Amino acid sequence: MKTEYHHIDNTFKEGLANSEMTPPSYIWDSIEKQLNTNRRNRSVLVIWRGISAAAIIGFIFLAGLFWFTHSNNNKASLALTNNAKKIAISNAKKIATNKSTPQDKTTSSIILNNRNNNDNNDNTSPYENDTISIKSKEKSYAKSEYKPLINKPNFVNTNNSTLTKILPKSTVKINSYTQVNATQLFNYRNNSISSYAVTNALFLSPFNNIKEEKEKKSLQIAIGGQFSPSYSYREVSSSENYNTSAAKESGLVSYTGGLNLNIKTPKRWSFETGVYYAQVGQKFSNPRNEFSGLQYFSANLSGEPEPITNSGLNLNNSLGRIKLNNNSQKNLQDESANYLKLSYKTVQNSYNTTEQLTIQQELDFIEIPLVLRYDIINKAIIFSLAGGVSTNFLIGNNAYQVENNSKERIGETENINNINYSAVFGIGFRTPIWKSIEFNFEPKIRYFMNSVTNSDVNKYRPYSIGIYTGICYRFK
Amino acid sequence: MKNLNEIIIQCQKNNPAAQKSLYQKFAPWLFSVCIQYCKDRTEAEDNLQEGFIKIFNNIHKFRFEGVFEGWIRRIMVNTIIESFRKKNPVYFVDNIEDYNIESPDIYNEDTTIYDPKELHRLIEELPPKYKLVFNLYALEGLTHQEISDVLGISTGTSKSNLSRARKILKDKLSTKINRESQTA
Repeated sequence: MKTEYHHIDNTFKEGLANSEMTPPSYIWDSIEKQLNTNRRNRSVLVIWRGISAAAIIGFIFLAGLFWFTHSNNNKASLALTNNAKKIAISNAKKIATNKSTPQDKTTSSIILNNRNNNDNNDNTSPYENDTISIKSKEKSYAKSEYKPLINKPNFVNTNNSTLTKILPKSTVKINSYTQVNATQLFNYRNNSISSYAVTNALFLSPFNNIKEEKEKKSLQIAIGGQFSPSYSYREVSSSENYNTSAAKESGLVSYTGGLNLNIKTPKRWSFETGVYYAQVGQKFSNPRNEFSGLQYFSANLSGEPEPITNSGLNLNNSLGRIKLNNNSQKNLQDESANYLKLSYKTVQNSYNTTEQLTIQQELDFIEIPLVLRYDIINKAIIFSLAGGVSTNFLIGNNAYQVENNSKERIGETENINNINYSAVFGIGFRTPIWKSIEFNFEPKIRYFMNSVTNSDVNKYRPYSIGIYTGICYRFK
Repeated sequence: MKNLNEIIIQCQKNNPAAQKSLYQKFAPWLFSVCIQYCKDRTEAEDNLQEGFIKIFNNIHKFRFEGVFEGWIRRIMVNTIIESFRKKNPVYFVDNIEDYNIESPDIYNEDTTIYDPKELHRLIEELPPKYKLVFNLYALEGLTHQEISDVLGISTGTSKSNLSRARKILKDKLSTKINRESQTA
């Protein structure tokens, strides 16, 4: 007579193996709703993280900047340019030169302390009466401390020193110990883990057959620095009664750089922010042309030549009126007067002689961008498009007279807004160069969406073009 | 229709269309599993919904090692048991442990094919704690030690509950067969 323990089990197992029952349709509706909510929550979380990170970075940077600018009144913008460069370059250097230190090959110490049995819930204590053997690991030694034998014939050990000297780094310290039953201890601990698992609704095998592995993060964060030479110029519009173009205006070549934070989603989208230093401005020149003894051409050459007035110089231009500091006003007036005297004397010999008065206007900003990036090609080299908006906080406003490759601050441009907004667009290329470090190269164009001047008659919108390069570290 | 691997990959990318395809493919089967474990249909629907949310939230962990059906079934059964534990924290413990050794069944050459709905009904009629142990042992293939770890009961209780479940089911099946043979 055959006996089979599990006939009834097999009946149900086989009978129900492919059993199906159609669930009501509203169950999928509920699931779909929950999944959509999860998707929305994830997007909001990404945006909030980005804004929080930008706010924190911006706050720290502005606080430092506030302290810095207060301690340096003159040439603040030039100093800040150098600092921003240093931050970008030193940050790049730190990342590039970061090397992992060699592993110490020595073993760790084995320390046995007197165990505390307070957490033992059982009445029976495993720590009774039996002995435990303590085995220490083999010691290994750093190579640098190993001195090989020296094969020297006729070696005389005059100092009684050994030929080889091995210096162990690890020690085995036994503070105190109690006698335990190792098998009982193992079972006790194993049961404790099982009880914990059950009481905490954790399940052991076979439901945990899947290998434990490190959970892959859904978002990747990268921090890096960028630097770029930039060329800036402007788009102007003014009312009919206000014609302010100088004799010759040109763009400004400067530098920009800063730190950025990139948050990459599992898809090709990523979100970027950061803190950058940027400079826009222009250069203009006016001829110091002789005309008549008491007249000279001012910056406003489209109108009639204006005589020198006692109220001061007129240096209007497309960006705005320059407010001279006291010393500069006097110096420029004296210069022009002297030049006129000179040119008046030589008017017969050099009627068409002209000299240029060159003024450079610089506006320095701290830029906080919020940029969305999409990876179009995601291979060894990642090609992406980026676009976004930036908030620009004015931190420097300077006008310089440029002469013989040196410049001297003469004042500032009036009526410049403290906060401005710009749109930014870039085409990025990046590639990993070593482990989690990536190199990026990105031409970018930035265009101010509002006029930087708060004048009603004159609108000035700068734009700048830069070739940004930098490196970043991607946390995985 | 896309094959299953493609659907899984798209679900890992949070593609809504792929998620719906996956649900439509496996929901009837998993709903049947829920019915086996739960005391009524309402509870089965709740567990099905919660189980699928967990499947979609954790599908990125599936590495295409092993059978996908087994993976999602485990998630669903885990969800059901977790739900039981929340509602009935002292559900599984028998006050009186019965250490009766199971008596082996006499080999039965009965080859009747039973309607799955009938089998469902028979399991549903079992007391909850017997049903759960029977499902885990007979349908999921767990050992008594594993059942005791999962449910927090002793192996003796697990064996006792299983034995009683089997007896009840066998009696009901026998009664049914006798009735059918009489009517025939």
